[in-house]
Amino acid sequence: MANRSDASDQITCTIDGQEVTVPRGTTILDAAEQMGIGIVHYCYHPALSAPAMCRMCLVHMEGAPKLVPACVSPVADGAVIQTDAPLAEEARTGVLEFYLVNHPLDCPVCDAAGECKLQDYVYQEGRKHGRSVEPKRVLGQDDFGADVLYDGDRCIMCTRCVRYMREIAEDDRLCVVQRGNRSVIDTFFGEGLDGSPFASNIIDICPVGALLSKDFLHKARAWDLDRTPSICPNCSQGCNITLDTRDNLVQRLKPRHNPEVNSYWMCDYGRYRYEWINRGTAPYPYGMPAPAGLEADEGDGSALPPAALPDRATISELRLESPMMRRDGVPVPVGWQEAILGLLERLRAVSGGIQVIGSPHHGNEDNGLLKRVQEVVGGDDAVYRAARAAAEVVLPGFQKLARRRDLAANTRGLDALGFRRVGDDSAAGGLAPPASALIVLGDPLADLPAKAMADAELVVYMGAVISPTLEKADFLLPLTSFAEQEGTFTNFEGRVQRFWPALNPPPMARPAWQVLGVILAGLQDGVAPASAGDAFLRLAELYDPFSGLSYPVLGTLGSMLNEPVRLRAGEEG
Amino acid sequence: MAYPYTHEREVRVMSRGFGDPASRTVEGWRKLGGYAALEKALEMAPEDVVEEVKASGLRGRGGAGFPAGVKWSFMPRDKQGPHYMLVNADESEPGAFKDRELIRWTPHQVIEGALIAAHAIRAQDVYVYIRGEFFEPALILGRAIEEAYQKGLAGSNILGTGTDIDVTIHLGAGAYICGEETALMNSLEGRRGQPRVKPPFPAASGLFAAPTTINNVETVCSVPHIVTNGGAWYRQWGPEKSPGTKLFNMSGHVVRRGNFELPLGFPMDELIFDVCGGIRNGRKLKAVIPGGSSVPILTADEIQGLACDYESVAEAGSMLGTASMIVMDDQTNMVTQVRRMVEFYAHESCGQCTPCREGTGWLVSILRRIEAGQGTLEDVDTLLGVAKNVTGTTICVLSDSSAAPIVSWINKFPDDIDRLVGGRRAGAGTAAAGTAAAEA
Amino acid sequence: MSDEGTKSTSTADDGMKNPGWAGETGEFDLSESEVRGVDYVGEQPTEGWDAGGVTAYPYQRAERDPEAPLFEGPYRERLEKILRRYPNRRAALLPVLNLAQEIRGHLSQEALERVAEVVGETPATVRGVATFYTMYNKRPVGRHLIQVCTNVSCNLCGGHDVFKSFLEHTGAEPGTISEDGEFTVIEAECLGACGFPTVVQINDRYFENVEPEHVPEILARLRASGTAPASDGGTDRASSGPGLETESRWEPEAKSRSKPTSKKPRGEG
Ligand SMILES: Cc1cc2nc3c(=O)[nH]c(=O)nc-3n(C[C@H](O)[C@H](O)[C@H](O)COP(=O)(O)O)c2cc1C
Ligand code: SF4
Ligand code: SF4
Ligand code: SF4
Ligand code: FES
Ligand code: FES
Repeated sequence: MANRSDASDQITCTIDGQEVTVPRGTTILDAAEQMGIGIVHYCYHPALSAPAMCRMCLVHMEGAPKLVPACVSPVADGAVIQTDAPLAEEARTGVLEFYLVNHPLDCPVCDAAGECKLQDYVYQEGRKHGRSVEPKRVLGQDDFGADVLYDGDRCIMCTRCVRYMREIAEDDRLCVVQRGNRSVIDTFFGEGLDGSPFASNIIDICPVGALLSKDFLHKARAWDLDRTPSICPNCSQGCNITLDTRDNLVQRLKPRHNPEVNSYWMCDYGRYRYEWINRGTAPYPYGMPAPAGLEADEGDGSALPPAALPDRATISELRLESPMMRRDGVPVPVGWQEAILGLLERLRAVSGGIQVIGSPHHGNEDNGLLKRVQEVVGGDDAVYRAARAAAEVVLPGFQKLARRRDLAANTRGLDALGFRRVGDDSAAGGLAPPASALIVLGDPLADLPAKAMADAELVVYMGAVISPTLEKADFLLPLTSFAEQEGTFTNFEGRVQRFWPALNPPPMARPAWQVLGVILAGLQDGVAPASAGDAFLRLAELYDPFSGLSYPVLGTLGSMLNEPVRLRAGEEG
Repeated sequence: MAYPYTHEREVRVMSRGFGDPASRTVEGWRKLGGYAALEKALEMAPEDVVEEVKASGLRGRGGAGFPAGVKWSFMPRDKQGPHYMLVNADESEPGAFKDRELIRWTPHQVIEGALIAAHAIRAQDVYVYIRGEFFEPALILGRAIEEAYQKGLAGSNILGTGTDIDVTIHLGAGAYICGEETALMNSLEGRRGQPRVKPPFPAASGLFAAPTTINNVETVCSVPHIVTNGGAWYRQWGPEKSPGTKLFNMSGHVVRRGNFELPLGFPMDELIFDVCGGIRNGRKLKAVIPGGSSVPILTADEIQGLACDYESVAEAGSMLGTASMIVMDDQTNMVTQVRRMVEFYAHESCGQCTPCREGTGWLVSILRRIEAGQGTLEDVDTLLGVAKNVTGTTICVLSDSSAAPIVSWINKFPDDIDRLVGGRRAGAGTAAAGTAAAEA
Repeated sequence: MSDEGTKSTSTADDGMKNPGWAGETGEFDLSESEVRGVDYVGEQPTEGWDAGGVTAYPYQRAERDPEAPLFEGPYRERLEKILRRYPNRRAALLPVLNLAQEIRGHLSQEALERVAEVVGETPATVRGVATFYTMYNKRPVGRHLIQVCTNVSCNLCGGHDVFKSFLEHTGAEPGTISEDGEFTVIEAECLGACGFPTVVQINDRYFENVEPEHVPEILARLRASGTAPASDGGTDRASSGPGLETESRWEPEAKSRSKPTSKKPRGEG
């Protein structure tokens, strides 16, 4: 056997008739996964300790006296493993039958239906007919506080949630109460999970519908949701997420695995602040005086209220629906072509350079091209404003992840592009009434009086919603929000990560990079970027921190600013 | 001193102090030859003690029958950090009541054996894990430990040899599963008493993640005698593979219930009909559970001439286990007893493994139905099917244990099934079914 | 140890000679006190060597004060001894829970919180552990907790009838407190004394070879066992605890017959 593989740390074994070479110590489950053989499992979760208690992953290993749990058994050199041995299949079918002895099977009213591992595995490997005719145990539901609702009847006792709270959140508030088939998950009596800033991750890792989000309760069926990979827009950590949407509205945010940024997790602060995305506004009362309570924020930022906004019915009234140009002191709707041509004319006539205000809620492409316009037209005052929480909130068991102080996704990107941060921690103040020409991206300038714009030579507002301050702007250009377009954010440590369009924008709204790209083309007699990727390539040419990066380089997991990236290494080598 | 029942065929090695409160003191225990072995062992190198116990062939008395000396030899020889010696006094298996007697009559025997074992495995600490209900034995042992400390037999510099070994009692709080060795360690560490996945085995990483050896009280109590008299002496009793004497815990419908210390290999029928005086009220024998409630039931026929040692009982399709024999007469309503045993396992399942957690409860539901006369033939099949699925699929063998009485009962007592569900399963009661049962 | 108590009940002993010991067939003539030593429950173990661990025994008085302060006075001393015997605090969790239950009689939410503080774990963790073990009373129980073994060895010899008899004579439902506040009767799993069926654990003590007809007598004696003094955590049980009184009433004749036991309890000498 020694000659099968050398003394190195690689070993070779056979799984379902195929040979595979893996590092020593790899579990059967991982090795099989690498070969594309999925072994069913409940209690095992790659980020948590493995208690090997659900007994779902039993496989046959030649020479072992019993079936072995694949999740904890390391492959041995030369081992012959059969995941589909009749005995193993029988055992797994048996285990699944046990799960159903007391399971209510109330899939029709269960939020997990469609993304439930019990459904999936029983469908895959279960018996056609259960043999149990006994009355089922009924436990009912328990409100765990925070956003979590526990359905004891559906719980399969995998203890993932308990282990997450102990090992990752390091806030040991869940426990298994009682033993045997009387076991249930509970907190310390009424203590609940309130105030535990990362608690909702247990909803994601629960393989079934036992832990439910109260926010999402009965909002949508899993199969009706569209899931778009994206980046959490609520702080500069840049957690990888999916935007789960239905009827063109975000229904919930779910973390997406990225080992460098957020592992499998995200914070509750970010997770539940998505309504603003549906409204196209900013996530907090942007540019308003500091909301009461912000100073008293204990660090988790939860004291920061989401923007007080009209309900969904009135969103369309709020959003900019078409480009507007001021004619004779009155803004009138115009087509894009007319607006752009008009704007180009005015820009060419600008005398003293322009001031630009960027937005940390817009991607690198949008802000970068804005900066470029300023460079072409002249002027050097590029600023932005963003809110800041009192402190970071670190996830103890995965310390790379913290709800950062900056409560916007792209502050670091703006810094890298040469924008200067102004204003206070509630994203207000710091701006003087503009003296010359001004282009505003996103920022509604709500804290400036309407007449503040009176002296400006030219005021251009590009954004999704309109504010009183800017009603009198010379140009009002409707933009898409980050959720309605493609783009990239640069997180706190300089990782550039892509997001994809999840919602349909209003018909006339356009991504800022497109609008600014056309303007640039007009100013310079060049070609406008054809796509967000194209716009990003321009940034890479123009701004050193981005040089060498491109969408293919970023991939799905992102890449660091100015990292010696693969493309270059390839060119040199 | 007359212990409740003694019999002239007994060989009273470990039970020599039973019935005499005086043997609870150091002085009394020394009179019975105690502490000589400790003196001798502490002068020996640890490896030599291990060799002596290996030579004796002493097998663990906690149920599995693993050779004690071999187990000790798994401990690392170069001690890097703490080592622990655990004495398993969680005795909770229905039918077993030997450790309680050993502790409350001869606490110094337990202490002496544990200290020798600790010396052999280079442990500086002994924890005796006693089930919480054993308040009285724990108190007696606690007193004995204090006396031993006062007399320099435990603690630091034992008997002036420079060896330091502390002995600590840890009381459980009501959980059969804490008798399983790794569950016991979790319990001692202040956790829920759930068995751990093995590997790692205790000798590599046990209590507080340190190398640990765990032995049953009776195993530990055999050790001083082996050290004093030598391994060869111990082999004068019992067959080659199961040497020595063993406490047989007799309960149920025998005339004389209690502990009898006999050589291994003693014939089971003589044990029941001679030593224990036969079945009460002149009834006939129906069944015997030979090793605590978790082993397959044997019929009256099967025990004829059956030698009570690990191999022979295994050959007969059951296990000697703790040699806790539950004897049932011909009027016994077996379904009630089987149901009660399975209820026990359902109650004591720690609840980690799905098959055990859900399976034991399900078995109870079916058995209750059958007991109430509402069972069908299909239920019997389901029982067997579920029993099969809980066997060999879990972390520890508690769930296997719950299946053993059911399967053996169904297969060996087809008349009971007939009466209860009004029908006979195809092939039941035939030789073929019996073999199938043995294999299941 | 009151002699009056023993006289009033002496006649009923005939039917239950030597309960608590396997003497029912008359072949065996040792009294329980001779066998066990009258002191077998001994004094309240507040002293003791750290390693011996006597401090960790739950000393289950028949009556406990659910409001009693936790871990004060002598209990504080015992707590500290317990903590010293383990390499980490968490390992002391079970003994500390035992101590809390000894003081209070059951483990309330507040008691669990205090224990959590002591061992440095979260209350949820402590709750998870406490609910795993059956001996921790999660709610108050009667002055006497009666646990009747109905597992197989006892059941073969009438364990269930004994259980029913206890229920009938206390008038309590299983697991609830009888109306007079005296008793809680529950079914127990095997108590590890299967050779002496039926085994009944009453508070900290085993009663062996119990038959249904013994039950009224046992209950009468328990009722008469008086009220324990308020929890003091430290005094000699022989003079104040109800357990020993019960014991002496239990063995009136044996008591008079018994020679002084050879073993002096430590601390009495
Ligand atoms: C469910 C279960 C319960 C057990 N209970 C006990 C017990 O009460 N006492 C005991 O000594 N061993 C018990 N054991 C066996 C122990 O795990 C372990 O094998 C034994 O203590 C080793 O000691 P030995 O080698 O001296 O027999 C139990 C095992 C299982 C699986
Ligand atoms: S948890 Fe899964 S199987 Fe259970 S009710 Fe919900 S969807 Fe159905
Ligand atoms: S609630 Fe969900 S995650 Fe927690 S143990 Fe139950 S099934 Fe597992
Ligand atoms: S088999 Fe049962 S008792 Fe053993 S670990 Fe699994 S659930 Fe616990
Ligand atoms: S995934 Fe392997 S036992 Fe649960
Ligand atoms: S069965 Fe009752 S004590 Fe064991």
